[in-house]
Amino acid sequence: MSPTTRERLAVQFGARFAGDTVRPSSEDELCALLSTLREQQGPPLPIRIDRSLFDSVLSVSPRSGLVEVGAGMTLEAVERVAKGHGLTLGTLNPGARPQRVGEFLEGPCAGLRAVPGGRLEPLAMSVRVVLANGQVYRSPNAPRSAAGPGLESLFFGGGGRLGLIVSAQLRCGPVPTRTEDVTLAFPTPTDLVQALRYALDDGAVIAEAQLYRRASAHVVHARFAGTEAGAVKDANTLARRASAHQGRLTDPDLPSWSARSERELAWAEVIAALAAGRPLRLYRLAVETVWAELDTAEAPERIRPHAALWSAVARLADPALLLGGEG
Amino acid sequence: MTSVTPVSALKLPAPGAVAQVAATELARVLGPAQVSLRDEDRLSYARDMWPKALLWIRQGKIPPPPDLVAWPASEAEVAAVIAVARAHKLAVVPFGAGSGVCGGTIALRGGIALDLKRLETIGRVDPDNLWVEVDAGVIGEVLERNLNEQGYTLGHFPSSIYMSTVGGWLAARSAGQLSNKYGKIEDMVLSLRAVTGAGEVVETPQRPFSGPDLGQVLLGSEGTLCVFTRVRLRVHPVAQHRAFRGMRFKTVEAGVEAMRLLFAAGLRPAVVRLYDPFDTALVGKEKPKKKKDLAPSLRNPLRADLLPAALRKLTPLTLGHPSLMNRAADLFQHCRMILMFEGEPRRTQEEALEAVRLCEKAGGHDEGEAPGRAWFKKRYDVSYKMSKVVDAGAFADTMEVAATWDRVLPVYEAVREAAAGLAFVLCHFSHAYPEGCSLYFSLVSSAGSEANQEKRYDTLWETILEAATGAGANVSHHHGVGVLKAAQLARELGDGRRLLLALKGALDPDGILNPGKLSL
Repeated sequence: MSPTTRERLAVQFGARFAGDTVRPSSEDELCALLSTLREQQGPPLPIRIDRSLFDSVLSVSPRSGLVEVGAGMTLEAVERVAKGHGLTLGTLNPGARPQRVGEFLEGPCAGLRAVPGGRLEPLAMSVRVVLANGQVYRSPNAPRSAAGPGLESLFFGGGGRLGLIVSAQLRCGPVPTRTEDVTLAFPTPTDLVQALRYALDDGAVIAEAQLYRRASAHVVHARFAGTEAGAVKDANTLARRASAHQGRLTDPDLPSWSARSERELAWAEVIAALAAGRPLRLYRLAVETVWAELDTAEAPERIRPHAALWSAVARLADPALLLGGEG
Repeated sequence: MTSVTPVSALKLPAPGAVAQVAATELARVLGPAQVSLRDEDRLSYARDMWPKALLWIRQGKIPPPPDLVAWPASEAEVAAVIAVARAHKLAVVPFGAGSGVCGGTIALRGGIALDLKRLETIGRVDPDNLWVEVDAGVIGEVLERNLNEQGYTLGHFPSSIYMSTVGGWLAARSAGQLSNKYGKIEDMVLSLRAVTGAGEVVETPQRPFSGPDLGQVLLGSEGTLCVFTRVRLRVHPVAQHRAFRGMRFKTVEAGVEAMRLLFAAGLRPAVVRLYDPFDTALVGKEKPKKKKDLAPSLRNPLRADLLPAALRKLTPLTLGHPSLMNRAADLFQHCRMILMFEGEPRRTQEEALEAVRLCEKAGGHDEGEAPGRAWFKKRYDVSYKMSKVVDAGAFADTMEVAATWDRVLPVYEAVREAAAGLAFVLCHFSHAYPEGCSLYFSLVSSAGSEANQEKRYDTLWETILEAATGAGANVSHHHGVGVLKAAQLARELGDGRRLLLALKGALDPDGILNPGKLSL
């Protein structure tokens, strides 16, 4: 009688196979695991693949501002490595810091970061991905590419459905030498938000911002981090945009509150929260959307578009539907 | 001596019988005037600006023409064309304005050339959200002028802006001259609409949403997965101020280091272009020479006959010996960098001053505003000078790749070395990011007979792409793949091609969309 898949996994992975979780320690082991699962007769086993052992630093390029790490490293750990080379991932939202790189890139955040001009781009410049059939895909090793469709986008926010990220080259910048704080009060939430968005469009990078209501005013306490000249320049840019939207400098008087959830918000949702008197902390500020800490656990329903199409792509790329992913 | 075949002498193969039936059906849907089987139309859509196709034409060879041309005016009509094409298993080649330089619109399997320029609506800018919705067939310059009238800019200025469409930009992941500040086209797209090869309309949502971003997957698909119909793009208030600068560097290395320092410091000049020494000598001139205004009686024979004839004789003597030319180019040393900042006045001025300080730290010498202003004035000229090279019996092409900063100089050296015996090579560095930049090589060569020209062209491309990718560059930064780089793309994708095939299977199950491109 041939051994069952579970018996084979127990032999292959020993103590690293427990319950329904397997912890491969290398790309070869991950491919071997997928091979074993492919040979399984009948419906796929509900196995959880834990990539926490993919926790190596593969390369650091201070000149190009890139740190290549395994998908199992936490972003906090990556930040420590980067700082050792004078680099930083930039300001991360609190929920992202303990996340593993793979989880951050494949999850709801889609691994996005904000860049000057208020645009969003993936934190990962390139990724290495193991596909369901054990083949390996490496996205172009360049800041931008016009060599066909952006296949790496299949994995950002993809929940591991079409492949498992095993390593990524993460974009870093120089460690800031200066921070600058500015507090501004506005008559309406809309004025406040428009001042922020236009300042972002001008090129200011806002590391984080706290938004709250004080009496009849709507207040933003914004933090800028960069070079000596850069942080001041960005703060001044926001101050100038604020004056065009009826904003005025004020003293910080930060209310104490506890964040209970994090999520990506459209700016209209930020305006609604402020109008309702609810404070927010903002990270990854872009003209399009923002990542927010909220004082509520209620999460608005987010659409998951093109479900039928993704399902069709998945069936063609992974006929055995081996990678169930997270949806 | 090169002989040129008049276009009127070219004979096209007749459209296939199936195409003729399809044309009748399409005429019912689009109107008879919006479908054509005429040779003149088919010939017009048989090529884009791929230099190899120009070589074919010069030899009297016709690139594979489409069987028919269709001009839909709406998304629904695009879907109708796809439905007819599916029913008859006819290929569909989406066509914008034909400015592509990689053969992306060559109708390798005939079929329908789908011209999208009648999809030409430009919406009003939403000032609260800083976006505009635009049809795919709108010409770039028309869009920019419209936005300017509303007080906004897209910030996208490809050299082809007068002869490229929004849909073409999406299909090839285009970049404009001000991409450092405003990003490439993929950075500007908030959502888009497209018709798939299955005839279904898809609309990608704006963030926030859950799951992968289909829009980013479709961008760059060069008509193989879908036909873009409409897009929502980020716009910006028109810049209130511009600051120009020219910097001179003793070496390419110093100039590249200065570019890197600018981006590491968080600066985002709208333009930063570093020309290598010979490119600096050729195109970095501050003041264009005034052309002598000849009397019309002298002008025509001289410019029309005598000069081109002299050039055709001189060209093989110069460009026919690229090694010699390249060695001569090594005598030039200094490189020029063009800088332009634009936006809010005070910020723009501060950034320009900071940039000069950083460049000087890297060994640069400030040449003042004039070189930047001169570049800005002539910024679209170079693209229209290629035809003179072709008239002279030579060929010219450009290769744009991207690399991270630690690979930029190795890629530059590797391509120059590999191309040295095959073409005269110039290079400029532009489209910079904190991680690296694009290297834009201009290549000019002549190989005597037309048959040898084509052979030289193929050898040159195989050699330089191999050298570039071998030294760490990618296959393309913003020209796309088309036919030209399809084999290299397949190598770059490796096992990832499985994903591309899965997308193709899901979005274009009959394989009718632009067959033969992107190695599909």
